[in-house]
Amino acid sequence: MRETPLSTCERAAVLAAISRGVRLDNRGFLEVRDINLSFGKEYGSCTVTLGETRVLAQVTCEVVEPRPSRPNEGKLSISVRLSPMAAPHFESGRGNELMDELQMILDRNIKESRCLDLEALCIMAEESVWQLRVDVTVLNHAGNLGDACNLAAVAALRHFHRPDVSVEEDGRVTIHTFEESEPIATYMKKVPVCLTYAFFIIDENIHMLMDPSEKEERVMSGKLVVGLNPHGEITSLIFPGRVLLSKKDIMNCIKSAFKKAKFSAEMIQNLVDEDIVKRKSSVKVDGFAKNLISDTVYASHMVKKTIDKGQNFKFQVPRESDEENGSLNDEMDEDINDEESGDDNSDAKPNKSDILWRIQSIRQASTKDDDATHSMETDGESEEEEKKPKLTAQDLI
Amino acid sequence: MSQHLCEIGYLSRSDGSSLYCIGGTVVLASVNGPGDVKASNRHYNRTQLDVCYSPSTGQSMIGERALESVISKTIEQAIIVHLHPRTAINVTLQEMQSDGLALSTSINAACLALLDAGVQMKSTFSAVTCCIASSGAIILEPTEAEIKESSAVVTFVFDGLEYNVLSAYQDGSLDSDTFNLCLIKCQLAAKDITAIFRKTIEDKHKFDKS
Amino acid sequence: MDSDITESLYIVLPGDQVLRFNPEENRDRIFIGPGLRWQDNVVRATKPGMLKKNGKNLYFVDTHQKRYIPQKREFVIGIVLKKKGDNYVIDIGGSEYATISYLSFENASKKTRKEMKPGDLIYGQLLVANKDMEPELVCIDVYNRAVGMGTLPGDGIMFTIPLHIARMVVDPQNPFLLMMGKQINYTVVVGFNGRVWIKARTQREKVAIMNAFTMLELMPLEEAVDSIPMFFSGFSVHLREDM
Repeated sequence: MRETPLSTCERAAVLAAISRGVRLDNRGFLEVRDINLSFGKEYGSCTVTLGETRVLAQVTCEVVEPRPSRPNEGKLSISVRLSPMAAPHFESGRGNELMDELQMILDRNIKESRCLDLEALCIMAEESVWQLRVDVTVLNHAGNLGDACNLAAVAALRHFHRPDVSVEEDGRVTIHTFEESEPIATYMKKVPVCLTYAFFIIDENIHMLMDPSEKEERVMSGKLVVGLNPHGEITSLIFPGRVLLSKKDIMNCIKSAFKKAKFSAEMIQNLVDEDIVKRKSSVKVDGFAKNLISDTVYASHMVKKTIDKGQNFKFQVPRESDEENGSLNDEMDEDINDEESGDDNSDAKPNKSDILWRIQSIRQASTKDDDATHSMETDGESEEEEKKPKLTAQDLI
Repeated sequence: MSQHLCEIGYLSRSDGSSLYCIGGTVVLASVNGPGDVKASNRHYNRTQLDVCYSPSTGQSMIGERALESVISKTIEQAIIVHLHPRTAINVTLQEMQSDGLALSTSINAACLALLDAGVQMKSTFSAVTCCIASSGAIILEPTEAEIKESSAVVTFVFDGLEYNVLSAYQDGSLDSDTFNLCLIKCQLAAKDITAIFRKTIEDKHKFDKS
Repeated sequence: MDSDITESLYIVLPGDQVLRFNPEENRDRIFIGPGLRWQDNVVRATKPGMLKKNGKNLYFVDTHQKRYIPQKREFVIGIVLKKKGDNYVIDIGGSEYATISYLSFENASKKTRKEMKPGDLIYGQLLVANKDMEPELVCIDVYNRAVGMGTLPGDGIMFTIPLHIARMVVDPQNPFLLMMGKQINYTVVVGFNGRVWIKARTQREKVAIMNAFTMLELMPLEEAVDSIPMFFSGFSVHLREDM
């Protein structure tokens, strides 16, 4: 089935709203949608919801022969699937650009970052090793699939337990069932996190927002997908689209990503560990049957949240003179706010809550830090500042 | 009978969707259509029905293709295909968690998703699986472990009107008397499933003025 | 009984028998609307939903669904895709694209033809819609007047809602629309294909109205109407001064 075309009106509405500091789902520019993880009956099966985006990841294992070049390492393979379930215009069994992109993100972030100790998956060198297979299926495409797929795959891998094995003297390998012997958890050294920043060029200003929705993805000029882990390592960096950013802006994005990554990685760890502890103590696991929340329930939750917010908010609403300063980013990341207020540049408005989150301000806000940490860039900086105004919307659109 | 749980309106981007659980088996179904169709699949007098089933793990193999064809032939009998010629209806099924009852759970999930999408049908349909244990007893909606021990597994799909059999799928050998006994037992269970469908749809329309 | 009143009977599933009707025995006439089929002297439902009946013995099933199936005389919002000869190709959300002749606009002639760009929005009425033919739109009524139809300005906001919600808010006297109007000045255009176009003074107001429509899916109408002020202040939209 074909995709519904995007009308000029919808495109203009998204852009006009962003230029006024509003997103169509009433989120702050750096606000990420609600994340929810639920685990299936078996180890290594996990569904992630990111707002209405929904991804299923399942891990399975089997004993295979190792690669001759790496005789003492296990194997890991990841595959992404987009079926008509995700969105009507996807065709089952046929790849497309989006699927390739997701595959690339996951391969780079999880496989090539070597976050998993593959040597621990070795049973007998040159003879037999474990092969872990992660199947990532997109169930509902409501934007930002990269982050959701990465989250699901990582959580499923961390949650996964493989059966215990024993090797006889003559080299025979016995795989024990979970009843016979305690299953073994996968050891994940570093939790890879993926964060997406979408860029919009409106009247020569670049606006940045996190966790784009599907409509925003269709309108955006470009995006930056950063794969990283809380240990300060970047595992992948993808920057498609028609946006030109200076080195400094990208650095600032990455810097803010690191702050988020720490929180995100801890959240995955806590949720997975919590579920595993629950499994080990209680007798019966519900699995997906009782734990999944439908989009209808999610939507009504969001409506209730807005109404509640309205109830608490009612008498504090200041009257705006015009819509121009219409961004009330109270959900904005706290440390970013701090940076902004500590900065004394003239562009920033006095009211903290009225600050529009723009690339411009990221740069100005963290100039000081940058000089200290990246002294290499100092000489190029003035040049970049000059170049900046030339990157106009005309030559990009 | 195992516990049945279901919910509709599961996926915001599908025209209709449902999650159906029987015991430990959980299937998510999504229906899109009637929508446009490629020229190669276009019929001048009826809707093209595409069923796609994905197992919870691994690639879709020949077993899944067989399951798809059983499901697709069953659904085709229920929906009124000639109302929307030159269109397609896509039914996508994703097994989320498996415990032996993939076929019956998928068919029930598909029926609910079709109801959620408002596709015109002659009647609802519901599937029940039972197996014959080594002792000879008939177990309704068995678990995977029980299926492994059993001598035969039978799945019946009934329509919602007279509870006639729309399709039957059998694995293993059993005599005709046992088969008939299974049929009667499953027929009774199918009525309960239709009641579940009705309750779910009533719940969906709870804000309509009555 | 007043013929304007529609009464809701009960929920039906496909295959449920609604009534027996034999045209040779039964004298009084009945009308069968969407979601019902008459076969072997029995009227059965084909769609799940609320069975409704109006004073003129018209029976129909009110279904909740998202996919639009074009019906004659319905008003829809379409997206212009391309120009094809003397026609424009329009996406109205159905399985096939609709067409509209460049002459089907008010005051349009061969010399002053209507020009539209791909991506423009158009509000029109379905002149032809049946299962065997390509749907055709017009932007004029039988007296060649536009009566509100035509292209929609690009500074609004367009979004989709389920079809039953669209049928509900297509009524200009709908309490939900009226209540929103007490809070915010806005213009609304509702298409039967579930597309809604909104224009308001500020971006924030547009976004708030767009999101408010989801309330109709999730709660009874009365509750949704009562929740509007709270919902809008949740969006930090400033209510009109008389409120």
